[in-house]
Amino acid sequence: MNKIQVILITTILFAASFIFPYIQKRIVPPTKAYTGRNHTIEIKQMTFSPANIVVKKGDRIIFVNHDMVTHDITEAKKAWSSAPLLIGKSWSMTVTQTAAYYCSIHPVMKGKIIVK
Amino acid sequence: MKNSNTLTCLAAALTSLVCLSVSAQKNPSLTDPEVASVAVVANQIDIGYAEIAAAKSKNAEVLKFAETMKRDHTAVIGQAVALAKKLGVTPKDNAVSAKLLADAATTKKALAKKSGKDFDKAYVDNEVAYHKAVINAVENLLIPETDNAELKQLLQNIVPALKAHLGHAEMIQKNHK
Repeated sequence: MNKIQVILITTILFAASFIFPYIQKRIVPPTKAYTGRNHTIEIKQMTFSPANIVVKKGDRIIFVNHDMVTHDITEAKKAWSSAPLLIGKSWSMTVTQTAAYYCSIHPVMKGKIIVK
Repeated sequence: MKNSNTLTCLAAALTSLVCLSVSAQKNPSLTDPEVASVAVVANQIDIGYAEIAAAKSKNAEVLKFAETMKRDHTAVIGQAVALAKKLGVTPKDNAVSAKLLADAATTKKALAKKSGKDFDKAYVDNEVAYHKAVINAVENLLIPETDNAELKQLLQNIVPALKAHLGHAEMIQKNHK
């Protein structure tokens, strides 16, 4: 092995010591963020069941209308709302914060999402 | 005086509904086709009241309530008719449904004479009283009189909707005192 070869190999190894960690960093996926779990709230007999639900931020809630009439899900201060939910249809939302909600079609129907 | 006449008409109509319920408890006589007819007629009557409100009221809260009544009672009729068809039952006119229709005609005439805030108050007061009377009739007359399990279940399922309508009407009533 001549002098030039030694210099070349040393240079390559030196460069690799910087490049490999960078490549490794790019290939290994970052730690997975919380993807949440699904919860179902059934609408039946003019009630949200369960009326109060405790979830984590990022969880998904699926509302299913098993009642005789159309309903909707509206945040108490109207920050968000579903479209009218026809019989047999469902609507889902990802929870970002604690919220009280009601059915704007039947305002006596109320529920609460509590984030813990 | 006009208010007094209206209230007298409404009270008479609702008293007759309650009386029918009480007399039927003593002497059950409705067949399932007759029960189906009463259920459909009771829903149609409230749709009729809602249509009057839609035409006469300018109040957003009253209009939204009337829209809900029309939509919900139409949905219930659709399900009652579908079940009757499935069971091979043809709703049959009877003394109870005839009386309901006659009383509703009187109430509609009284409502037609009202306008503005007086109409809104009369409509909402009638909705409170009518739903109370219908809940009583469904629980104490129609359900006990029904033989078919599916028809009975449908009537039982209607009660929570009627109670939600009553609660909603009472909420609006507080704003129209």
